[in-house]
Amino acid sequence: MTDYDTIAVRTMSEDSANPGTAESTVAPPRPAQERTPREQRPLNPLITVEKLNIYYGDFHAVRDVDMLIGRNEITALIGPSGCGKSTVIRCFDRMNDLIPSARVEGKILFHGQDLYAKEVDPIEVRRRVGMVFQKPNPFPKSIFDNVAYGPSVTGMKLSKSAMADKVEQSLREAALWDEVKDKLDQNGLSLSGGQQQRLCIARAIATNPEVILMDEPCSALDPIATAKIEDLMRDLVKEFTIIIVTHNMQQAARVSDRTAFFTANVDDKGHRFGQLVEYDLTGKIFTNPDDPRTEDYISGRFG
Amino acid sequence: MSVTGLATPPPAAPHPPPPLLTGRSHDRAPKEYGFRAVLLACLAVGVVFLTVLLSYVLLEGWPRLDLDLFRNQASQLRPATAGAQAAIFGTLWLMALTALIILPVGVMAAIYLEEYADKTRWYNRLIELNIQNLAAVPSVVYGILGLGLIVRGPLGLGPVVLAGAIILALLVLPVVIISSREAVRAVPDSLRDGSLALGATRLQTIWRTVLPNSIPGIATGSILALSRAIGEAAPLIVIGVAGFLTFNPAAVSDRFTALPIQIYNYASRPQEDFIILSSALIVVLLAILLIMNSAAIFIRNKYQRRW
Repeated sequence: MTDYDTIAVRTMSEDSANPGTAESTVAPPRPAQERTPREQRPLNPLITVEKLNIYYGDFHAVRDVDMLIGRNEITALIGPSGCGKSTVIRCFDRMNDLIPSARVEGKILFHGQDLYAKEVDPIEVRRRVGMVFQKPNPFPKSIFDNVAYGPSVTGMKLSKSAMADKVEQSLREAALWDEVKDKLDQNGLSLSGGQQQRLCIARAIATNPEVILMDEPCSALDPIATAKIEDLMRDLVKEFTIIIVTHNMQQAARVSDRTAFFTANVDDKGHRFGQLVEYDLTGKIFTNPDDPRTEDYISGRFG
Repeated sequence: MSVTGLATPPPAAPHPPPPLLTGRSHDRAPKEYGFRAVLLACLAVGVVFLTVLLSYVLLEGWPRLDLDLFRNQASQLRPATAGAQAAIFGTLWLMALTALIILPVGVMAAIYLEEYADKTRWYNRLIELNIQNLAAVPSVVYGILGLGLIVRGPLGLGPVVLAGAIILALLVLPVVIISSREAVRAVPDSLRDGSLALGATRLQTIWRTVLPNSIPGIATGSILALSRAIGEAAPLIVIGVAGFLTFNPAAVSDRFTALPIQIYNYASRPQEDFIILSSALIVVLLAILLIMNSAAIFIRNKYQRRW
């Protein structure tokens, strides 16, 4: 089984002619997971993306994305700035609807149902697909009210004790319970950055979604907080399906099962657009990618 | 010998750096002091003028600042004991009713303009422009509008409390809408995104996230609007509010009088005692204003959040 931290080291090393040197400055390898090794697990598709094209007004921002998101897997979207990763991930919970000029063509099938069909209510989609943003955005309410917000707006009629149980369960799953159990009525903004982000994760999972989208969740955090959230992701994926956008290739290598590499192209009129280049098991993308552009990106020749 | 082996010219003697300990200070130059003096003078103009005004009114009205003002009704014949109970109650009724109108209407209009209206449409931009204009319309114009449409005309209410409140509400509504819009706009989009991403509807997001966080701005704006309304005499005079009344309003359909009008009424009498009375009433009006503004500041500070 490939040691994924060696892959992380390899992508950091400038000399790609020496793939085996493990003179690592990274942390020691994490303990093996109980899950089946990545290469042996078949893809059990939960979301099917078919010919996804995203427009902002007349501007064709993202072209022809086709991919399958596996159930209970962590799928990472990587790529340089401006390649449409955040735009694509925001399609999965219909958050692009909030941008008036955004238009989506193609299909995103969730349990076989196209998310962009006319009969589909975007509110329902957002209750099944949660999102964690780049900058932690807890509400200026108490920690308890933050986590209870989701269940109460989605109409889960919970009694006081049931709600308290739900809040505790969500905070435990987000690995935050021990740190906040004595101060649930304190303002959510009084927590540190990493704690705020875990609070946002707890808030997102309180609505019992099936999928959790994370748009660069660690980019505003320090390395220790980042490590905690990465550990958290590996626990959460047993119950949820996670799609993460990240600028940090090493994070994608450490955490994800499959990786999609996007890049920004320029069309004949000089407009930038985003395109999916390669999508495969993380091990393959980072050790033996098919496309030379992927190879260039992961070895740091551009990006 | 340099590394490259080329001959380098000897370094020129450096200019001696200017000494630090000059004993002088750029900040203490006459020009700097002069600028500060000019700024202070400009501030003093406003402050001194205001202080002189307030002191004059206070000194003039001091003999009559007593409880008789509140206990007794107005009188033509006995200035020594005349009060202004009708006017004070009238003003309070007017303020309460005006507040009841402007708060829901103004805040909801602001929410529509900020959260729902598509700002790229021409008609929405027209509305935006005109709200700014409406805030600048002279108050007497609202009086004429009220006379034609509310007091007489279609509504035909007569010069009663409700009519006065509607007219004053229309007068200050643009101010409420503008300040409420600013308050709603100040709520960061990250909070809205967070709420919507959890599956909340727009109504839920506005009601549970946006509005609670815009309370300071809305409260401040509304109370400042009421502060303006409280002192408006022109529209009330135009619609025919009584200048001299000796009973308090008991219902919104009662005739009434208000403090600014009573002040004007007393100030236009020849007897010295009435002048003193009007100064005393000015102090009462200013005191009510001060209480309202303090309430605004208190509410603003209590609900102040830092994102």
